[in-house]
Amino acid sequence: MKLLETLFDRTRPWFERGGRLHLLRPLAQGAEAFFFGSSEQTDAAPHARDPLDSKRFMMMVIIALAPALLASIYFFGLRVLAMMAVSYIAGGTVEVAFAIIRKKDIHEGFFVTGFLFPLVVPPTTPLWIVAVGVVFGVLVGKEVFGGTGRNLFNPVLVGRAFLAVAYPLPLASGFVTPGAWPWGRLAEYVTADRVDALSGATPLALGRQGEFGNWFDMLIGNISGSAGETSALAILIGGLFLCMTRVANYRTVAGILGAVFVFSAILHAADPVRFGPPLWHLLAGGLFLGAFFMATDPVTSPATNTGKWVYGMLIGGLVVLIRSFSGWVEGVMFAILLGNLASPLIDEIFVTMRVRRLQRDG
Amino acid sequence: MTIKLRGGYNIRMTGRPAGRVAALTDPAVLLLPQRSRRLRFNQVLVKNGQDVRCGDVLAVDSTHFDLPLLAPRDGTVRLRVHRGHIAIENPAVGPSRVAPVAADESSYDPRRKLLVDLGAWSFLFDAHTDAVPDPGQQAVAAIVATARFEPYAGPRGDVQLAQSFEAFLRGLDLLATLVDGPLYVAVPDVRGELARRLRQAISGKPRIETVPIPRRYPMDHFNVLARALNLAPCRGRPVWGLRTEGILAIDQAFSHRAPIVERLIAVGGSGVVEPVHVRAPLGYPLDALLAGRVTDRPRRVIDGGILNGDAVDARQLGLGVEAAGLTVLPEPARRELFGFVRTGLDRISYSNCFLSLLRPRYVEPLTTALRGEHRPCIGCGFCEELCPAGIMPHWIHKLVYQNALEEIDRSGSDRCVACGLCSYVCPSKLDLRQEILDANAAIGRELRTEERSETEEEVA
Repeated sequence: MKLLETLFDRTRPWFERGGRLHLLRPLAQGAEAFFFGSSEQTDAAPHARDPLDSKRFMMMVIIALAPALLASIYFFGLRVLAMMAVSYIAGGTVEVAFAIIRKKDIHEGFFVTGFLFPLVVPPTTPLWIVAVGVVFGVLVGKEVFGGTGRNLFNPVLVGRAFLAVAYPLPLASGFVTPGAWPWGRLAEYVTADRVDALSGATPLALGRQGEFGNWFDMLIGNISGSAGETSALAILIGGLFLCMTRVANYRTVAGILGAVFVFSAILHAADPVRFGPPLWHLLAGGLFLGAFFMATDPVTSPATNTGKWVYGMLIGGLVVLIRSFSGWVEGVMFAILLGNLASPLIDEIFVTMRVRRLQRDG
Repeated sequence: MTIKLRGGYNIRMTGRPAGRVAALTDPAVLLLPQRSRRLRFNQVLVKNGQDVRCGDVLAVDSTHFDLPLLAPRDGTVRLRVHRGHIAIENPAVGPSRVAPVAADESSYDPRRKLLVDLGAWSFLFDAHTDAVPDPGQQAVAAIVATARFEPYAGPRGDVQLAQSFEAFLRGLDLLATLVDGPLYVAVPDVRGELARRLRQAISGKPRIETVPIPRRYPMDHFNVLARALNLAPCRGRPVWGLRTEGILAIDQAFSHRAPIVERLIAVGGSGVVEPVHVRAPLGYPLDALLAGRVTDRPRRVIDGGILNGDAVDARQLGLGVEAAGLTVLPEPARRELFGFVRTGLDRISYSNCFLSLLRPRYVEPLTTALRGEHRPCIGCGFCEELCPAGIMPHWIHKLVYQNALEEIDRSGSDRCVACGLCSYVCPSKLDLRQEILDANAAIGRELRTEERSETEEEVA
């Protein structure tokens, strides 16, 4: 490894100001940051720092997503990996291009975006549509706002919403039935032309016809749906891990799931034929994936802890509303985007209250 | 009585100074820095080559009530050889001098004057601002912190108390006679023998109260305690803050009338091979103090603790007047490969992102590494969770970005106690502590110019 370090040390001058390859500095810096920890030191108090950095922070999300990815490959086949490769390449290009234009470092947040995106689209989405979606998400959802940390909306969901509006047909018909025990579709590559033979309705679509599915299948993920959203169990394992590491804030998750449960229980009690039972609402569609991995994105959720409860409950309420009373069968995506939109306002309210309390205390 | 404190965190780090006090060799020369954290001894009162005796005034700080810099030993003064220092050559321990009772020429209480003259006043803090309190003003209350939770920022309370328990109690009684109001003695809520004895000894004393505090940094900060005790700042009537060494200094001044020219110093940190306590005269050369005790690797010596201390720059040669602890941190030796996927059994984090979580007793050898790249704020909220002042550093960071001074002021930035925990935990490695301090300074300047223009208007 000494060799690698020497390589970076030797080539660094090329990318410095005035060097031949100065334009590509973000790339070189990104590569170096991938292999090695930062070489910077503190310049004032506090003289030592906590070991957590943004690389580790984002890595935790990816580790937590691994069970969901494995479940997705098991149920929907190797095509998920191809979608992920496309997502990383297309989105990464945008990220690197902007880093070069802005002359800033490449930010780690993209690795989560690129990982999450293929998990929220149907497993047979044409690869070029995946590329369009992730490019739109990173570009419009993040970069136009000024990059990581300044975006208002979750970039993954911006991209997903764009696809839902721009290519409704391929997205709505891209759902396939999951592979069967014991090998699933581990050795299969489901292409778009086979969709007709394999297509399967999602539990949410079935729910519209008053069919509130098999809970065990919904729990392990033996249902059709977006690539990474079906296995509630796998998401739960990763999601709880993420909450335990404090990367995801449990308040947001508890707010969403609690609100969905309570709200749907009330509706179900009022009309059990038309509205699904609360447990079905929790396990169906992308609620778990959204609640644990997208709504908890710290950048686009309120910064205050009380605000996170309100934000979570708002999203949860919207999910049930959209699922029950709108033309869309799935409401998680729009609910979280609306939650993102509301989060600066929520923060404003709670920060103002906090500031007032501080002033009163003197 | 119990008090409510919020926030805080304990940083576990190797190099805890041992309980024993190590012996020091006699130095060939004492180098007294003319600056310390709060004091600037700008008026030198001795001449080059002059012979002085222990306790003589070498210089005074004219901006801080003429607090004196005392000669720690008998010897010959050497000026202008070491820049910013007054050197005492051939220091020797002379016959101990007893200070004369001050003639009634000063404008304030002779008992407080005695503390000033004997060098005990620099142990006093204004509990709200950490400034040097005015000896001419009467204190409404005093807070005594018997423990220090910032790693190795000063001598361990138990080491000091074990040696001089009686003197400490005497000092408390003496302090009580100097203060108009109550005395609050903050004792960590531990079950140790010493804490029990202390609580018992104090329980009978009128006007002195023990206050149990959780063992978390920065619960020992005077301003955190003052706020928790509901002691509001009041112009002209300060609340004093003292640590154990301050109480012992008061006892020494009153009971022995001897100048306070030695300090008990903790030398700790992960760069220290043999973490110790030493009792050293002021001006003891730092080189001699650290020789053989610290690593040979490149290192940073910090006056105070890692969170709040100042790096000792190469120009400072001897122990300063306000020194209490020296923390030594090594510079990072090598860059880590694939740090973001390592198990992390060897690093402790506030977040639970590392496996050291499973090693509750693990103590980490910290370095001066930043341990990450500067990134924009991602709003993780750790800084807010830890903030003992109840403010929102991430929010103020955003406002700093917008240069919205008025709003920063309204967000309670003046409550910042500069504990440094926000910067410590920030995964984006933002210098939140410095940003808030800078913003407060800018607000202060703005207010001053406003006041000035207002008075000018009035004059006009």
